[in-house]
Amino acid sequence: MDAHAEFLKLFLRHQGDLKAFLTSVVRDRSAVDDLFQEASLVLWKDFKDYDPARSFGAWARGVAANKVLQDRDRARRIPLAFSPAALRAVLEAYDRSEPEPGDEKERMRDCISRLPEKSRRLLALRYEETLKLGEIARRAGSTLDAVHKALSRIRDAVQACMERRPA
Amino acid sequence: MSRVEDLIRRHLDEIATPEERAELERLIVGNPEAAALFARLSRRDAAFRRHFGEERAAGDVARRIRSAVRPRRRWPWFAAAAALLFAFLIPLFRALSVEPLARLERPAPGTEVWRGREAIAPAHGLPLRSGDRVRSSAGPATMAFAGEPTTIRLLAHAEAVIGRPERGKRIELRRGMIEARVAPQTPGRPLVVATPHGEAEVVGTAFRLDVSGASTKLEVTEGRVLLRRASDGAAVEVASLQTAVATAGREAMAAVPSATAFRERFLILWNDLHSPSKGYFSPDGIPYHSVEKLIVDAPDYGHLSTSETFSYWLWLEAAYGAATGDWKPFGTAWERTEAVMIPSRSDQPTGSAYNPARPAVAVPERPTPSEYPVSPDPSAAVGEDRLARELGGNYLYGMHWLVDVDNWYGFGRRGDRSARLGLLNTFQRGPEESVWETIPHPSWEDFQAGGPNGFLDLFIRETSYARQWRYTCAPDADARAIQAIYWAATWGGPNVPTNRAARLGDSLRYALRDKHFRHEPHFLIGWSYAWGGSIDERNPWAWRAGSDQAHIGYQNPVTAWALSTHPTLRTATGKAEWAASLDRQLEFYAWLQSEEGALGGGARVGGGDFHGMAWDPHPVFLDPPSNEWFGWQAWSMDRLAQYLLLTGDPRARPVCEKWVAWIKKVVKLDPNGTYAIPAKLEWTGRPGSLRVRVTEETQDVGVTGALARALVYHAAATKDEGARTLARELLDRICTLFWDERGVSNPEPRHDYRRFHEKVYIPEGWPGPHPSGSTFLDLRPKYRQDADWPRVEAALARGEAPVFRYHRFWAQVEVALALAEYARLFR
Repeated sequence: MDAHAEFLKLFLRHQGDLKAFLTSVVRDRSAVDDLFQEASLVLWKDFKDYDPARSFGAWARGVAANKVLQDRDRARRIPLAFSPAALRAVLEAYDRSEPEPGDEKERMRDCISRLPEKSRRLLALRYEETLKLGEIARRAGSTLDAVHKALSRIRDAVQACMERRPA
Repeated sequence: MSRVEDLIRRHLDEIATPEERAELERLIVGNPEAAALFARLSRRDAAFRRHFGEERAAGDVARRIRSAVRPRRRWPWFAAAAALLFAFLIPLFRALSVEPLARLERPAPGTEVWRGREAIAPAHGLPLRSGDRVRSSAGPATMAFAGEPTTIRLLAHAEAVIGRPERGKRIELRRGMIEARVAPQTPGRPLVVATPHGEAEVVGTAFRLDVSGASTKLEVTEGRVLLRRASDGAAVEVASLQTAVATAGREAMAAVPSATAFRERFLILWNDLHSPSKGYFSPDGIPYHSVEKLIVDAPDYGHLSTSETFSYWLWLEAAYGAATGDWKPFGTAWERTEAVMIPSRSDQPTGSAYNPARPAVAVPERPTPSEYPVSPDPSAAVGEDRLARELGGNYLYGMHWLVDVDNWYGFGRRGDRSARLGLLNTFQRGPEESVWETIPHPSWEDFQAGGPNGFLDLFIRETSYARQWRYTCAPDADARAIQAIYWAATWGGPNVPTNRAARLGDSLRYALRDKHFRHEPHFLIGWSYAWGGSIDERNPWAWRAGSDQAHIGYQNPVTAWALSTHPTLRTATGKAEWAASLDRQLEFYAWLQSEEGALGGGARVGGGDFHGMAWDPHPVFLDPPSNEWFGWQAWSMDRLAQYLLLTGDPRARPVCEKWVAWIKKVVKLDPNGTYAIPAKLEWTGRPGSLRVRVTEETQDVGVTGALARALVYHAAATKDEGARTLARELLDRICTLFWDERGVSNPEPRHDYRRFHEKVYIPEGWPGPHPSGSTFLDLRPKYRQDADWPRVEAALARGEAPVFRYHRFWAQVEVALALAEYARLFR
């Protein structure tokens, strides 16, 4: 397999986790998208330096974390949620618990399809329409806290379902 | 649900308050289980996002397919009529509302243009109309207005809407930052930029506007802009190089110097420092301790230089690289630092003879110079130097502290008496030996200068003397150099010598050890480390020594942190030791903090309650008492505040906050535009009940610069607006009061210059060139030819203190860095 194909194979497998990491520590979605794109380019450019003995995911996240810190130090335009020390702690936690490839996607689809319509609608407002909780509360005539609690319950239910149910 | 889980969920749902995020951050840093839970829940959140994102993507594809296969309806007569109607209406419609007001120029990838709900391809030259919405991504996008040289540049992640032009141009800036250059507008029809917090009314100028969640910040680079607040209509006129903020609140609005003003002042100062006519550098391109030759500080002549000066030089060039993208000066500074200040293998030719099992013969220390020379004590216990075994190699890689740039003393370098840039040494005779009592001598003691035994027999009593080399490292300078290199690497400098900085850091570990290796490392940055050996390679021997004394002013948690964590600065064997040093230093700060907030003194090895070290109110030197000088406070706390900014470590925060609270009480900003900071401190009590009192005040520009920089880092780390305002006021007042044709300087009455005529202790019968009874001036007769000497003599004859305005290199750089860092962190 040539380097390009090898890179794509690894990158496609780990890109979701890379984005999850960035989204968890950077507070602005468009900044996350930009960082993700820039980090992807760096990864491809530096792929020759990647040591196949290491986890690609850990390497990619390390590159992305450095990019976040560099951009933050240079311009302070990256709305980083935490200090660099906390970012490193999160990075290490991600590295310690890298998920094995599996069938989570199918199990999640199955479990979400079993939710009541109202719950599915709430998840969609949050994750498909990407609305803030305040806006969801306004539309639903509810409170911020009630929306937060409802979402938490629904996510926990999906999680419990996924843990119970093989796809 | 646990507290940490609740906080994580609130963070992921974007409803956590800043306080909750800070609490979560502390938990994540301090508890790996909390970090693991954070990873798990944030991955789950991302999985939901992916799931629904994919659903949406699938939905979009389905819609596109449906629209592509929808059959066309046949209404030919209607189409013809509509075409006719539009032929008449389009010019009218254009004239009314769709005439382009501006064009999009050079949009960076990712730029979006929206017309209603329709996305328009963001091509260069795209006409922009009233109501069009432009969103920049990681790069900028420019809106150029038709018929005039007015441009509005959206910087990264900004969003602006072009408003209706009834009464002049109108831009609605929803978020992010713009840079505007506005040509003179028709009277009564200004360009208005509206934000959620107010509007800026412009008649022709250049400015920058930044909208964040809570406020709109205006910074004017040319001309004047009226900033009007939305909540109550309050307005302030903002002039060139000033800034003002509009919030949703009703606090007083004021125009103050802008970060850009500080950046420009930094660049002016940088140019002054490098201009040959200003005199900061020697013809060889080496920075002097000060422009003025007649000056007695720790170096006893202005055209000597120190490792401190070089470390400041590195940092100055790192900041210049960060501000301008030009990293060549940083490369030059590093090359010369290594070539001049770090003794090469040839400067330490017998280093390979060093025996770690017996690092040195102990030489006892006496309180006063008149008790020297002293005899070595071969019976005194000396431990084993395990660090040497660990590091390997034959020579140490650290800066010696003092260099005679122009060969003023005539000792030369490494035996060549005519060579410039010879390494010198002073202070060899105990804590009471001030600069006024010290005897400079060459580090390369080959007996060409001094008496038959060179200068050695002034310090050590032996039966015979060997030619030898001896170097002393001032660890605060090496730590500062490493810190500067860390920043250069972080700011993206190319070819930054981090591997060399890692080597400096490994040798610097000698400063974490007691003088004769009798104990485990104390882990504090000691006052010095020293090494030497024989010049005669046929009879080789060498020695090394650490330091029993640690001063709060020398501690550098940033360097300890960088050497223990930075991927290319940490070394395999050094990182754990620097991590231990970081912990010990943080404990040291807390231990030495007085009830008021200032930091008291240091510690020495031997029988105390701080990890086997005893408190010492004035470590190392007593003439003057070493912790009397306020500058140590500013230097040391500058590093702790910087460390807090870098890491958010909760151990550093309370110390910084207490210290800054004290600073706010003791620094005086006079309404007439002057200021006063502490100069001297008096201490009572001991750790746990330490008290401090300010006994003298000063306007010293270097220490004020260092203090301002500490406040800048603290303000950036803790969002303490009071600290930021104080830093800005101090910097602005330095620039207003003390900016001169060479840089910054303040008048200094030098009461201590009467000591030019004070006798230096030299034993009766010493066979060297200085007879007993010689004065400081006798040892340095060239001072009599200095252009400034008549001023000293005249003032002393009148019984007055001569007054000078000095341009010390480090002081210029302190002010320059404070300006640059303020601009970087608060622009």
